[in-house]
Amino acid sequence: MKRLDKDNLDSAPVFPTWGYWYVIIILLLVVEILIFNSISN
Amino acid sequence: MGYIDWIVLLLTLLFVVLYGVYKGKSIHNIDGYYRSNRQLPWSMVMLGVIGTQASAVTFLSAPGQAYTDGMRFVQYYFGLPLAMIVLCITFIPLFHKLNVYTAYEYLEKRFDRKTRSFAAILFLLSRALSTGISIYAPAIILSSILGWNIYLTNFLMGGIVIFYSISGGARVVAYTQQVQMIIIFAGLILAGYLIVDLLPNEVGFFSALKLGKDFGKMNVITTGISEGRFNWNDRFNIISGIIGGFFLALSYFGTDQSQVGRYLSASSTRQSRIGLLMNGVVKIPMQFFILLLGVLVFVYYMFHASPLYFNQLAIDKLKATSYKSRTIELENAYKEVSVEKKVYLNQWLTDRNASSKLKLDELERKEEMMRDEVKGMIKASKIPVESSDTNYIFIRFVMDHMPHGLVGLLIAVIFLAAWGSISAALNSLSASSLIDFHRPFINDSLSEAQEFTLSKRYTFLWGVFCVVFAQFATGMGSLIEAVNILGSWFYGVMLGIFLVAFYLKQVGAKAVFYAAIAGEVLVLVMYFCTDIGWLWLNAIGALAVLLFGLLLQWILPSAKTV
Repeated sequence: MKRLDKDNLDSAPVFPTWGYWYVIIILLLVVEILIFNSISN
Repeated sequence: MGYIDWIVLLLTLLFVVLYGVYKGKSIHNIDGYYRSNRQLPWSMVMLGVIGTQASAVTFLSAPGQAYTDGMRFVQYYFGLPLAMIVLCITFIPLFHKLNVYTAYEYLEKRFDRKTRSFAAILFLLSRALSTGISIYAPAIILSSILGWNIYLTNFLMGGIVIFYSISGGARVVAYTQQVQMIIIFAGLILAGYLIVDLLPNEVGFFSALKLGKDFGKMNVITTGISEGRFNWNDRFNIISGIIGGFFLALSYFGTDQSQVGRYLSASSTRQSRIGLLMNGVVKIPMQFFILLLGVLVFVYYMFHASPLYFNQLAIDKLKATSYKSRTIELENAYKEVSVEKKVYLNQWLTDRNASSKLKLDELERKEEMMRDEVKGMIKASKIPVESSDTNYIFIRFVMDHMPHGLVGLLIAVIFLAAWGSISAALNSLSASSLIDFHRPFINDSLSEAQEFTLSKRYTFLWGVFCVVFAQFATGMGSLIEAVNILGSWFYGVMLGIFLVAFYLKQVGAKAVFYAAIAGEVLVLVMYFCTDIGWLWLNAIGALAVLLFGLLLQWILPSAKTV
C-alpha cells in the first residue's frame, strides 16, 4: 500500500477551499426542494 | 390609523433617516461614495443585496400571491443559489481584481467603449424606469388604503430617500439597509405570530398549515406539466424556477449595477463571496416565510368574512358607475357564502366528511367567480384602478385586524423596504452616469473634490427623475406592466455580453456587439410572436448572445482585432 507521506499529499489533487461552500449550497437547495416536495404532497 | 400608529411610523422613519445621515458624514470621496471605501463585512453585503432586491411590492405582493395562487411562487428563487456560485467563481474575483466602480467598466477593458456604453445605457434606462415604478407601486396601494393623496405619497416614498442617499452614498445605503432589514423582519415575524393568535383557539400554527394544504395553498413544488406536456407559459414551476430563475438571478446580480455596487463595497473577495453565498442560503426560506403569511391570512378568512374585493377604493368607485346595483348584490351574496362556508367548515373540522369538503370547494369556487366578476366590471367600467387586488390583500388585512402600533410599524416596513431598493438604485445610477459616461465622454480630468460633488448631483438628478416619473405613472396602469416587462427584454442580453467576456475569450468586440443586437431582436420576436413565459426570455437572450457571438466571430475572422 502506498505510504501517505508528505510528497503524496502535496501531489494529491486539492479540492478548492470554496468548493466545499458550493457543494454545501447545492446540497441545501436539494434538501429544501425535498422538504418542500414533502409539504406539497 | 390611530395616533400610536402615526407615532411609531414617524419615529421609525425619522430614526432611519437620521441614522443614515449620521453614517454618511465620514464620506468625502467617490471611493467612499460608490464603494463605501471597500470596508464592508459579508453580513452587510448580504443584507445589502437582500434589501436591494426586496422592494416594498415584494412584501405587499408575495402574501397576496400565496393567498390567491398558493406557495408555488417560491420556486422562482430556486435558481438563485446556483447563480450565486457562478458569481463567486467568475464575476467577483474579476471585478475585484480590476478594481472597477461599475460592472460596465470591465466591458471596455475586455471589448471596447461601444460595448460598455451599450450595456450601461440599457442599465440606466431599465433601472431608472423601474425605480420610478418602485416608488409609485407601493404609493398607490398606501394612498388607496389610507386615503392619502397619491402625489404626496409618491413624494414621501421617493423624496426623503434622495435626501439621505445624497448625504453619504454607498455607505449610507449599506448602513440604512442593515437597520431596515432588521425592522422589516421584526415587523413581519410579529405579524405572523399575531395572525396565528387571531385564529380560533382550536386552530394552531400546524393545523392552519394543514388547512391551507387541504385547500391547495401549500403547492410549493409544481412541475408545470399538464396533460403530459410542459407548459412554457406557466410562470412558476420547478423547471422554470431552476433554469429561468438561474439566468434571471445571474443577470440581475451579475450585471445590474444596483447589485454589483453592493458586493463591490466588501472589504475583500472573500467577504463578497460569503455575502452572496449567504444570500443564496437565506433567500428561499425568507420568501417561503413571507408567502406563508399569505396562507395564514387565507386560513384566517376561512373562519371570518373576507372583503369581496380587497381594494375598497375600487369598490367605492365602482358603486359610482352603472355597476352600482350589481356590486351591492355581489357584496350581499358574498357575505351569505361566507356564512355558509363557516357552517360547512366547522362540520368538516368535526367529522372530516367528504361531502362537507366538496361543498366547501364549491363555495370557494363560487367566491372566486364573484371576485372575477368584480374584476371584469372594474375593467369594463374603465375606472383608473388596478383590475387585480392581489397587492392589497395583506395590507388590508393589517389595517382591519392588526393592533394599533403594529399597523404603524408595518406601514413603516413598506416605506423602509421601498427606501432600501431605491437608495441602492440611485447610488448605482449616479455611479454609472459618472464613471461610464461623464468621465469617458465629458471630462476625465476632474479633481477628486469635483467628482465627489458631481456624484451627489447625479444622485439628486436621478432621484428627481424617478419621483417625477412616478408622478406621471399615476393613472397609467398599463405603463407599470410595460416597465416590468422592459427588464426581461434587456437582462438576458446583458448577461450574454458578460458571459461571452468571461468564457469565450476568442470572441472579440465587433462580434459581441452585433451578437447583442441580434440577441435583442430574437428576445423581442419571442416576446411578441410566442406566448412563452417572460422568465425564459433571460435564458434565451443570454444563450443567443453566446451562440451569435461564436458564429459572428467565425464568419468575421477580422472581428477580434476590431
